[in-house]
Amino acid sequence: MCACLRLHAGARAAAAALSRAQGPGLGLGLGQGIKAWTCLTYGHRGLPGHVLSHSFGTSAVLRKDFIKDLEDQLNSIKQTALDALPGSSWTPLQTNPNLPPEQADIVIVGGGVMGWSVAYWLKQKERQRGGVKVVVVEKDPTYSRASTVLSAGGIRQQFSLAENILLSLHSAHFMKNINDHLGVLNEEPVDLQFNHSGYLFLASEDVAHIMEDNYKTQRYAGAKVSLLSPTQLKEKFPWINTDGVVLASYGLENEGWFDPWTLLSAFRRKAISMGVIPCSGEVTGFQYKINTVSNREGEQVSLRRISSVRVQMPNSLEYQPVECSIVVNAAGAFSGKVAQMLGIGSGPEDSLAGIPVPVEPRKRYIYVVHCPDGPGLDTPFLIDYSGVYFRREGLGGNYIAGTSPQEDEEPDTTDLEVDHQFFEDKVWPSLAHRVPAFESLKVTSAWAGFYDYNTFDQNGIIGMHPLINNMYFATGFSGHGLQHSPAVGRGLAELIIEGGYKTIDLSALDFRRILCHEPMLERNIV
Amino acid sequence: MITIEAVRGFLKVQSPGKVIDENPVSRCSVADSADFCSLLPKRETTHLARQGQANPGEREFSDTQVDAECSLVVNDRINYRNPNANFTFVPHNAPSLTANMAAVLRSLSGRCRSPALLLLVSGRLLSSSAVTKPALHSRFLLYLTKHFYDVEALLTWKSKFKRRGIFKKNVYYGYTEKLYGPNAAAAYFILNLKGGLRFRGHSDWFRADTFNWDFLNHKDCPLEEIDLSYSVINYEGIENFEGQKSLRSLSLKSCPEVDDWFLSRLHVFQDSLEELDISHCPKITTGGLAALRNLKGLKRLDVSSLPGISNPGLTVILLEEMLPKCDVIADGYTFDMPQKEETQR
Repeated sequence: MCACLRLHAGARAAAAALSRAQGPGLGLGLGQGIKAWTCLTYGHRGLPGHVLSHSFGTSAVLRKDFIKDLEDQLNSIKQTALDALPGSSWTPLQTNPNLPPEQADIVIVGGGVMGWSVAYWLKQKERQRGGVKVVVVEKDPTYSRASTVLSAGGIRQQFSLAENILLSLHSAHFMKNINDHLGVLNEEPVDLQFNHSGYLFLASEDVAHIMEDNYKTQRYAGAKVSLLSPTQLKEKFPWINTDGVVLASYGLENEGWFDPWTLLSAFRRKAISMGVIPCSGEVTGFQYKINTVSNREGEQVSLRRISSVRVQMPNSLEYQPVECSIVVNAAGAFSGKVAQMLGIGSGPEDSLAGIPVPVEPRKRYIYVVHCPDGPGLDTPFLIDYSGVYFRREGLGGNYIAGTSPQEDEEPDTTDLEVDHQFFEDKVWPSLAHRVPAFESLKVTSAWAGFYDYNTFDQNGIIGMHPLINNMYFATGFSGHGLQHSPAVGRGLAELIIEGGYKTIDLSALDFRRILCHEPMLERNIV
Repeated sequence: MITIEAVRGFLKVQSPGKVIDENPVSRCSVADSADFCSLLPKRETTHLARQGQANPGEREFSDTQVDAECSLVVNDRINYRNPNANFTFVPHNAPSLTANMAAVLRSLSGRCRSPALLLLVSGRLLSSSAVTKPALHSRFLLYLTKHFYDVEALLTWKSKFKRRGIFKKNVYYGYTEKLYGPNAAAAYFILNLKGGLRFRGHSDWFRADTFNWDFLNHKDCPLEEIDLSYSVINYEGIENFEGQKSLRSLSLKSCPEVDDWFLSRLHVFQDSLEELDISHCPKITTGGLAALRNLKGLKRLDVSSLPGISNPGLTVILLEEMLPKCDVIADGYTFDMPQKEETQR
């Protein structure tokens, strides 16, 4: 290219650079370009041959800069030209690219592990490529207050409810073959860092019979659990003080803990590679249609059908109403608030509409302690009958401990500040009593997270609400949502796409028990 | 806000209150486009020498001083049009981690418009050598995969078929068991996987290279020693010999499919197993070695040259503590101390 053509191009580049705000267009700023060119060539003194520069010299260095400058501008104009060509994604109406699409088939409120698990399974079960358009809305992309990443990450099959046992078992099988499920071509394999150390539940005299019943249920459902007497316990774990322990239940297989962030990222990565659309925003409202019918007693019941979800962008007043046909409420600790936006709970006291979704956030603390003489590699996730639990973290003598406070001493849920006095009063005494080596430990760090606590019976709520025709719930797991997430996601996807549960029958965990006031209590909640 | 602190050449990644990973480690993959303005060190900007930007989206940092603190604003909108973009965070010619901390970020799929950064932290050990470019044909295949659905589908099928092959090898020999009994079925399964076995009460080994049908004569003898080295046995395959209550020795040297879940299933042999050899198995990590806690009767354990465990010295010590009666053999590791920073300066 000869020098004069290059200068022409440079002028156009300069023009384009000047008129960038109006968008690209080669013919646009030609007049301006000529003006700019004259500016360039005549310099600030108006004499030809001088470059536009702040110094008065015309040394070789400056000339090289000028040519490099021109080359840069040529590159940028090439860029804008390519953008204008068909096939590129440039539009003259520059809208906020972070808005969710205007229409979607299924909107999932909440981007934690439960939401992304549902998204993945929906895409896995759609019958043809692009069958369902799924949008996942998450209000906090840093996950600073999300329950998933603040969880201790344990998985166990030692529950008293058969559905819970099956959910955990199937989730463990999922994690066993996680790369077959969530592996993306040419990406790194998923490494959950699963520690197969098992759970150990200790029972005192008054709860030993419950433990034996649970053991029978667990073995019937297929979990590999064993019962230990105090002597066997002492033999296996010489560091335990078996004072007051009458029976212990020890998981042999498929139990342990893993990294929740990795699972979340794996679900997310795979779902996005299958075409799920992530969106950062907060759901602030719904638009719905009301259909009033009368029931057998002659009362008027108003059924709502959501027509669009109002998603508000972070730190902005901008919002996008997403028209959708199905909404999945996987908002975790804040699902009660989302349901409130639809009027659940604000009807007359004795009607169905008056019963709110009983999920609220409850703050729980986890303390990281360091004890060099503590138990070694075979430390299970030990849960004492007093409610105190601890597990090993890494190989350097660090442990994670915590407990659930009593009902009347629930901490305030406005923030995630840690109460260190709680450790001294409630956690340490029981820890030191159970493991004498923990009398000399040091708290190195602590954090707090929310449980999506189901105040009704501390078990998950999965399924549709009878008063809202197209909202599905997958929330209220009260501390064991993470370990159930793969199986719950699959169950909910089966419900949505295939119309019924195919692998595990979770109909016992739906809304009916809440509306009929029949709690299904889990007798092994930590 | 997830903070990455470079402290004395070690990367410490933490989210509020929780230490995710604290090791000379943290392979951080940053997925998607690099609007790097948000990844600037909070202070000591002069210490980071920004070298020329080759393409938009590629920035290279080389750091001579290691006490800069970078806060990554995790702004998580993956550009879903380019799902396969990924970045790797590797040191720039760093045989010694202490001196240099550098990030090479590269967008693999061309122009990405939206400023989107997602930080994925995997707890993998950072290799101390610089990343070598893969071979030309695999780079070409990668290019084709990113631009053509057909190639992507073909490669997905290839990996699926491979997995199906392994699954078929480990299938449950129910028919054989119904006809000949569990011992003969287990023996046939092991011989089909090209392993070797020895019955209790007999001293001769049955191997696949000298295959004959004589093992059918010992239908009533349980198995005592099984050698499945170099085979594709996996978690499902254990079902074939799960019922062998008098299994004394199991050798799984260099099996590519033996992973932590396999080890966790070995608890069925906790009363009888005395020797276990799991050296050179690539998929075993420390979490799986914790699963050996049930095998209290173990007398000899070989964990040499396991590439998956990160702190071999410490792990071996903890293993010895966990299994007091056991003789732990751990060759093939170099137990080096990390270099002190003073010598670098």
